[in-house]
Amino acid sequence: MRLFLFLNLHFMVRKRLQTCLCLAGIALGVAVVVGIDAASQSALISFRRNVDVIAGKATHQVVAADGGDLDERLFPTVERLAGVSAAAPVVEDTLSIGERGSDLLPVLGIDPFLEAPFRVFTQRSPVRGETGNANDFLVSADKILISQPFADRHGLKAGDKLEALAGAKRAALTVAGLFRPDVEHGGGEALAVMDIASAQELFGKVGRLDRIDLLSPGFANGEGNRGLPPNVRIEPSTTRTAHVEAMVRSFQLNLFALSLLAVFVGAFLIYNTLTFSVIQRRRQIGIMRCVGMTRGQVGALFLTEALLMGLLGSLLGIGLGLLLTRYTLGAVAGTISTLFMPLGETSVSLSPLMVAKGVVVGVGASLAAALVPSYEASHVPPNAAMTHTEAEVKMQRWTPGFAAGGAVSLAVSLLLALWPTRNIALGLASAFALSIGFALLCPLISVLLVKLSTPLVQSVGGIIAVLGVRNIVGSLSRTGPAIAALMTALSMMVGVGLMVQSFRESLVEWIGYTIKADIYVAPAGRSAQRNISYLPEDVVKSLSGLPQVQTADYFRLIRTTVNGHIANLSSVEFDAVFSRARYRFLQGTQSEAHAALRSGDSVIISETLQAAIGLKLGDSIPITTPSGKIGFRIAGVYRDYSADGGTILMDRSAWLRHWKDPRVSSVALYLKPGVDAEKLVAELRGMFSSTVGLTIRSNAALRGEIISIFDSTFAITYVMQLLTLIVAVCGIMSALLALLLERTRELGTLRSVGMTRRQLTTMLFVESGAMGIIASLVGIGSGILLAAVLIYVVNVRSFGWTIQFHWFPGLFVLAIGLAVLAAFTATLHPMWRLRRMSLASALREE
Amino acid sequence: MATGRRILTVVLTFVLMLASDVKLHCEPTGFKRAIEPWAWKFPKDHGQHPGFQTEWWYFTGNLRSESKRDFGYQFTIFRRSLTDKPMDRASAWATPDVYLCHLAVTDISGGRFMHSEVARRPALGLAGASTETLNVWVGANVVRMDDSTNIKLQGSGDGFRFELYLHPKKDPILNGPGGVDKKGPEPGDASYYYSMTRLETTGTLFVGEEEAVVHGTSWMDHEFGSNQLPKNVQGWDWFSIQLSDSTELMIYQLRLKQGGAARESGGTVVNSDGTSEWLQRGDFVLEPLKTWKSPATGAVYPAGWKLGIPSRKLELKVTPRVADQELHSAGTTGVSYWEGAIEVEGNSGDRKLSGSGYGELTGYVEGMSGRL
Repeated sequence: MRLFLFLNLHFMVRKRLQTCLCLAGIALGVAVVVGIDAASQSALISFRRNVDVIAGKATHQVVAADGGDLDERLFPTVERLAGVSAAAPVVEDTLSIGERGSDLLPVLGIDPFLEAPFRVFTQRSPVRGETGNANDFLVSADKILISQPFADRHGLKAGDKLEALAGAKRAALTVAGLFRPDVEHGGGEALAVMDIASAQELFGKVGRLDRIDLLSPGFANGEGNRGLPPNVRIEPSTTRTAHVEAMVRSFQLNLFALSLLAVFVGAFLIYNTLTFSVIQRRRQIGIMRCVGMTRGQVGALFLTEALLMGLLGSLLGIGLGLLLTRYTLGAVAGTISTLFMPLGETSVSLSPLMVAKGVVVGVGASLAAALVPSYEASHVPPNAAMTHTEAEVKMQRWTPGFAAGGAVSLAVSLLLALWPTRNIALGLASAFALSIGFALLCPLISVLLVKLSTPLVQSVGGIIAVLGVRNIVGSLSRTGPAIAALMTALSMMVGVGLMVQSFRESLVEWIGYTIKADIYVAPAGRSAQRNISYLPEDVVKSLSGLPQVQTADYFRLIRTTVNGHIANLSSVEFDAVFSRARYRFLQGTQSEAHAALRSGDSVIISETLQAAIGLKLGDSIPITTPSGKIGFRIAGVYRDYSADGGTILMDRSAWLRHWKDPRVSSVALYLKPGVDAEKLVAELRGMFSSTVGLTIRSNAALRGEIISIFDSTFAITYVMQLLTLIVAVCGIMSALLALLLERTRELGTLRSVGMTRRQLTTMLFVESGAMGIIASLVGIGSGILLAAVLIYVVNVRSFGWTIQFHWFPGLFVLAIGLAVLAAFTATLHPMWRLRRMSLASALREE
Repeated sequence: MATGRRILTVVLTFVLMLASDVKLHCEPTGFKRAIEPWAWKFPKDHGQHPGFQTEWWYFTGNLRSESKRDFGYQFTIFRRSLTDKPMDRASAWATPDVYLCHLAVTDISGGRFMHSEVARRPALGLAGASTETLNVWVGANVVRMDDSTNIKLQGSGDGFRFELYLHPKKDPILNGPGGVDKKGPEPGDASYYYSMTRLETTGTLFVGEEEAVVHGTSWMDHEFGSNQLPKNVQGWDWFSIQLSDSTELMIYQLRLKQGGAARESGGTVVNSDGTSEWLQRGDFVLEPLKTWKSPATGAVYPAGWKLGIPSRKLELKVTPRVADQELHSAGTTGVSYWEGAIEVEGNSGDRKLSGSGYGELTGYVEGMSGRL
């Protein structure tokens, strides 16, 4: 047994190109799995640590249910609530630092005297004279404490000046000291602490609090109110983490499913390699059986080989995955930073669980792929060395079976896609079943395609070409899996590509009819929670007073909760917006909605929100206002891609009536005819740049920016597609290589009966080219269906928005081209070997 | 008297929470200073005195429950100004003052000691003090005097709370001429300081689940000033004692770093008729008899004294009623001091005397002076 194992290893080493390709396939598959997993986990860990630092030991928090902030006069009442053993007021906001305000620094405004039960910030080193004194921190409004990692990154030390943007406000702060957040496992890499008074003044929140932290272990785990005003909610401090975790989980699930496809392709490779190995070593196996080895032992031997390759490939893949994480982490962390809280520098943390997951996926896929070849090996009779023909006979016999399995898998896929549920995992399972179904159907489709195309091939390429395509059917046990592997990769490329491109096209259309103002003005300082930066009042005034402006839209955005679902609540000037924009109404019409919005308590909701909460035109939607919950009538449902949580739009008049808060998040200017927008943008920039930090964009610039954000969000899928394609190319190379090496003798015979070298070359290129074409045709078909599942099932279930299906013939051409190119490339090496081989030695093989 | 150390505690609490270095010895510039005798007027002078950097109201007492269990309590509110300049700030939280409350209960019969501290700034009514009468509060801890000079104390700490009613048996007593109490050789090294030395006390004490209806005697100090403690002072031993012959005694000894007592050490004796006499350093003898080592901080405190006032033929033995009455802030600041109930026995000439009171011992914890 040990000897045979040695022979196995020897064989693996001897066929090193095959083995390398195989390892590369598994490694790439595992790398994608690990890369995605490690990135999401690392970002999540970093987020949790940050939340831990910021929430401290709080068990609950008091927040504004109306999406605004809290009146600070609530604090003494909250502090005296029965069951509250400690309370701390918190102002939370973000500073933008650096040249383009790109580095975000979350700021916690706290009252040091109420903080001790919640958060402890330990000073880095108490250097006398270096830091200002505690009195200054409380007395001077410009003092800020900064976490050491952030200070190090920016070369800041105590006493330094810090220029920053708070929304649109330029702030000159003084670093009063550095601290290390006192939390067990780090976190708070980027964090600043200010006295609550300074923070209120800096961020324009005098009299307001973002939340009140509570130490109230006796309070329930659900939401409550405890007799506080109706626009106030008490919720467990874990609520915030739960929202982000849910978001990251769905993100992770989507990517994980895609990465499993890569592994799926990798598994074909293993199957190929092992089958090849079994056929090549039939005589050897026969001898081993003669000397007393049992069937089980032979089977185990091949499984061991798969196990070894799986292990080795997985380990390589984990290393590769970590490299990949450098890229993917930025994408995931960036998403969390934009939507929830700046994470600062996020380091990759690799847990044993992630390693285990990578190994399980890699080894599992390898073993699963090895089952059939191992079974076959264990059934080699001691006296026989089955010929290639026998293997093919078997394959021919199994083809209908595979096809039947494929049909069942497709049926399952269809069922999962049509099942009335919002479960995303089931949607992804449908996509996966679709891929498996087509892979299993591949041999049958290949046979049919070859049969159908034979007359055509003959008339174009003659008998040599026919020989080439017939070889595909003749060696189906080898060509089938190779075609299936390439087909799966191409199907993924086409499917995901179609989905992304359709999405992009839908977005472009949407932008075209909704983004209609000429100039957009917003605070330059980015804010993590999006709803807390405001334009200074005087800026708003001078903008609307410009002679070039015909009308202006004052935009205000807050986050609210509708029936437990987080949504954006925006108020706009519909008179201005609807003067040019034509929204796509799925329910109701723009003119009816406009009238309703102007006259009373009506709103329009996005398609995404409707999908989440299930309300329709004419229904009443409960929205928490400062005076309690009020039912607003839904005057329309419109298509919107702006936020994945869903959006409620109300007229600014309704907002002012209920919230009485005139602050504005951004302004859109509609210019008089004939005014040069770009010129005005330049003028406005010059007018404001010295006093406030504003982002002033023309219509075209904003549109471009939205598209570029979209592209960077989906960049990760391009990387994955590329990787999968590399795996598939490895697959087809390894399959063709095996095939040709195996057929050395046959090819030698062909040469000896008079086939010229040129004819032989033609035959082989026709064969591989045909494989590429078959794979790409099936792949395109399967890809279109995959795109349909992604667009109509997975997307709808994940985000609730409808994407218009768009055709991209270029993608199909690309798929065919890539497949044929891959097949040709894969033929080059065996061809080169064949040409170098003398006729005699070729015939002597075996 | 306990001012300096208490300021230290306030400031170090900042350090703990703000992680910021502290300049303790910044010269007070724009603050008022205690130099001339004060024109005392009550109840107005029970209230706060803006313009002085530091002010505190201090209550201690020995109490007995109906079931004959003995308790001691401490209730102190400090006001500290962070700046002598006017603050022109928009936020309500930007206040020039900070208030701090120290609370302690000694369960003498049970041999337990509990203490808590609370800090608030006078924003949104979270803390504050009247300028007209005794009405000072920090969170839920309140001391308030009504029109008939009765005082109500409400305090709650971790695991204990109390509600006490204090009735003054004697008028306020000034400590030092004009109420100016000297702490050092320079003018202004002083504070304005008066005491209410005998306050008949009743009320309720809650310790854990236990509720005790109590009565006993309390002591009140009120002090304000802007002085700093001289640099050569290591700490002090301070006592307030109510004797069975209806007299009271306040004694403090400032310990110098090089050893011995500072010249400004002194005290006040209050006669049964409410008249008082001031004591100089040479008028009394204070000798430690034994020591107690704190298991929490390792500090070695005196734990019993011989106190003599030769001019009054007074000889007393002073003993802590519970050994461990040390206040320490979770070990993180290193700021700890001993403040606890004491009992005394002795004689005045041939007359046997007994009594009780409070003692305060500071500057015994290693490394304190180095840190500052």
